[in-house]
Amino acid sequence: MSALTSPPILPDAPETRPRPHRRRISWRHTVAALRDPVVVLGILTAAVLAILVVVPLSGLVATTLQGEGLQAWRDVLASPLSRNLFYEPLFNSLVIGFATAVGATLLGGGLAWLVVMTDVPFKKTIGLLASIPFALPSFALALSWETVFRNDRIGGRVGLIQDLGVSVPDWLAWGALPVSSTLVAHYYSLTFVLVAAALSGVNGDLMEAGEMAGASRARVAVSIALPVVMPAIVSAALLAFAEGVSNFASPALLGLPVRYQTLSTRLFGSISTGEVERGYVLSLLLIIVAAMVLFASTRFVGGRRSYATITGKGGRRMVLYLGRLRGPAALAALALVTMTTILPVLVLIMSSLARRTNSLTGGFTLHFWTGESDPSFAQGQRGVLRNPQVVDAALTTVTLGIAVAIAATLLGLAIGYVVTRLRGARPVTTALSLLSFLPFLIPGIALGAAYIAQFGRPIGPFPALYGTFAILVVAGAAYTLPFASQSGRSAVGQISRDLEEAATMAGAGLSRRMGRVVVPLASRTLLAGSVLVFVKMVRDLSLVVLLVTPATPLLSVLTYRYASEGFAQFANAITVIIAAISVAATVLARRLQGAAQPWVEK
Amino acid sequence: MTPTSTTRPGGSASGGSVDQQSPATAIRLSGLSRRYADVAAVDGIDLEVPPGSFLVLLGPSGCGKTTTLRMLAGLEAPTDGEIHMAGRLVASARGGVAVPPGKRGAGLVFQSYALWPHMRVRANIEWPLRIARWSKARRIARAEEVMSLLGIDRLAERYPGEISGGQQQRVAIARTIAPEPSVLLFDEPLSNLDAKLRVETRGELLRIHRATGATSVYVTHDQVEAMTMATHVALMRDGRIEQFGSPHDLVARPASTFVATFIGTPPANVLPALVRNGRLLIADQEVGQTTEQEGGELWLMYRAESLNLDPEGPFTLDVLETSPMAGRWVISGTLAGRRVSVATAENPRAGLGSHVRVALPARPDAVFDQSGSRLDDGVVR
Repeated sequence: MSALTSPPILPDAPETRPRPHRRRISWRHTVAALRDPVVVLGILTAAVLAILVVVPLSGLVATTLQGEGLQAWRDVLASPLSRNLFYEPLFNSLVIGFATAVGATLLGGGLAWLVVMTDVPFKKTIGLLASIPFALPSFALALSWETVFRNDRIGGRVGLIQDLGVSVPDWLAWGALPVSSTLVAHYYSLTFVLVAAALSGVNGDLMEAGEMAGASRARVAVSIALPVVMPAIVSAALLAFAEGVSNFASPALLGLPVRYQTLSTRLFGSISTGEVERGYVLSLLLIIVAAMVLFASTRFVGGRRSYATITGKGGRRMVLYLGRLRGPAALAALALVTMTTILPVLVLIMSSLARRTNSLTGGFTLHFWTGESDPSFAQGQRGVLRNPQVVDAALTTVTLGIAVAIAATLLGLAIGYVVTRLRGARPVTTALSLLSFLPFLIPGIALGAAYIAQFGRPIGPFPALYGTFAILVVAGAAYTLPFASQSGRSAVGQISRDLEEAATMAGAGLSRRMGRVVVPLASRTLLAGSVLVFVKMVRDLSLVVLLVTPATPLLSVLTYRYASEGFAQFANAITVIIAAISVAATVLARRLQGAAQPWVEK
Repeated sequence: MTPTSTTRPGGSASGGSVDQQSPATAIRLSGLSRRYADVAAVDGIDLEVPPGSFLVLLGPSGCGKTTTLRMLAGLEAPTDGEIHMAGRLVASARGGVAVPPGKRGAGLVFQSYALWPHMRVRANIEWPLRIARWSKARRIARAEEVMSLLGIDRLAERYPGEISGGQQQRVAIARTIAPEPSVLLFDEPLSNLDAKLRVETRGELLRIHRATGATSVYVTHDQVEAMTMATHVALMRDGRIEQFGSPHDLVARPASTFVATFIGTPPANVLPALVRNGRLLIADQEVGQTTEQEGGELWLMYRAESLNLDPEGPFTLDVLETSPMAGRWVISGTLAGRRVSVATAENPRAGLGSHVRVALPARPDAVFDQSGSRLDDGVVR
């Protein structure tokens, strides 16, 4: 015991001191807080979020609680129709979600481990290719699957394989397997990125300590590296599950034609055939399913924070030597990434050039890209590059992507700033965190339905927004909010509070601190986040499929229409355009990031 | 002008005449408090210092010294009490006064330096002047001036990430003094430097303090820094000022056992003594006589240099370590269950696990009551 701690503590405890005017002081603090610009910013942001998220959701709920809405609940949950309307689609959705989660985790996690922890050759190539599928629209993979495996079950053109005279069984052409496979091929990319980041953040010392204790490399991998990256694996698996459950494009292209229904295709069908209330009820059920899964699993991982720490001591990672397996492992990895990136895009390009739909033997033509209208060909449709509707849609799509990226990034910056900087106003920061996370639980197609329910008719002095460009921007901002706020939060969070306080000491106000300190320092992260939002919007189908009208054509919706009308070449050509825009945006963002912060890599 | 008032915790010894505003006061804190939920980080402190002083807020982690500094800077609002700077009320919880940080004429040197990484050294120094609406010509001239004062002229076009920690420290100081603040605030500015650089920078800071003529407030947990730099020291503990005075006061007349054991190299020894039949007993050995109440307990303070190694001494010291210090030797160990240091002229050549005998002087250097507060030395005879 040291002399410093043991002399008796003075008896007059702080609790005994009188505390006069407590109420008055706290009231005055509230008034003073309202003078703090950060508090004001927080309240404004919370109000915007309420309009973006809470209002449409409550509109959705309200609509189903009156008149035909109540009947719709009965129809969906307890009627002779229920089996077809709800239970079977729910089962199918859950199967697809589960298969997507398992497949994406195994492929993405395994690939991440291979690239980060072993001496497999061609690491850079594998890593680069593995991060591309997520930038491709999910319907790109579905379309190329269809192009290859479509059979003659529903008539129309068959796929490449059947065209060669080989019969394709139904289970390979339609339903659960193709839907899950295309979703896995899409989402394993996300798992790869998340797990690879977590693995490379694992402190080399941890593993060296394990090895010093006498554990083999394999044992270190299982006992130390795996638990450390477990949170990343679990959250990636959850994301894949939620996306699998709620994805619209894949089941719409590969299931719907043979009446293989999921919740999202059912909900789309209900709304587009005028059974609006049923659609709303299905939206709510879809939201509940997605939310339950995410909540249950958050509890399951509860309290397990990521242990991965970034120490800045790179280059000391332990490597597992594969020995004789090195060649085969590289081959398998390269085959996987090629099959999910280069191959589907090649298939799409080839098939968009095929004279006869899905046939490589019927000759090639550029007609579907650049052809003039010819009544004897494709019902007189022009090539996509000459089609004013497509050009218009491309412009609208890019404009929408940019508008949503700007709106969501600004909102995300405001949320990130308030949440990380505002102290002493918990209700505001809690509201912001919750509201910005909420859209994550809402599948795109259900959010689209909610926007129709709420903004489809005039509210007070505001006109009905349905069919306008504005509703697309607003819905897009709400849809991408979880991503934007996450990037805003990490962007602001990595700026030390001291840097801003130093500016405050110099007399700089909120706007000046934002403009001269926060934004320049956050620009790299913000830019990366806004590109993510842009790409997500450009390739999205589920959110916009219900909101788009002929007045606001979008590429993804056009693709879907062409595909369901049997114009595979047009659909594939437009998909290639979308993929090109997404990839170009990603490349451009990398360039810009380098230029935005010259002081970082000198 | 010499600060001799010793503020007892929670007391208001120096707060008695606060109503007369003396122009010779640079900083005055009255009843200053800052609570977070139910915890008082700063719990009613009073002090004042004249212009040009070098005030050190000293204390262990969590004592409220940084919170006090941040309230002075204006980055934190008091929940009770007032702050006057150069006679002007800059913060008052009751009065709803909160002069913003940029308008207090104060500059803050951050522990982390907080240099803006995206601005070159010159821009880091000039930007605050721009906010203060200095003309371009004056800005450039002033930046040159402070850079040469700190010897960083040749770093002007570098980014903070490209210079060493010691150089960053100098840039931070240059940036802070450029707008000519009348109060300089330092938040543990030396804690990120290595030992040698720390000693050099200490001298440098004093030079800057004199050159600018500003009043400085300096937060540290290192009592050596406090003793070497301060004109005034406020030793804080649990949000209150344990003792306020000159470095000499704190060493010579510690107001409590806490002060006695915090200040000094090595700090003074404090031993518990029982009162039996008018005699004071430490570990059953009589060490003096007292008029204090029978059956009570006192704390007796003995400085390291007051104790002697004596083969005939009545106490046994279980040796822990020996270290040389300014030509003498300090031997430390446990005595009657407490850690005790003894200063001797000769190397005692006693290592861990050995035992030496210690004799106490006839009278302790100070006496404290059971609660740790200083008593009149006369209670021990």
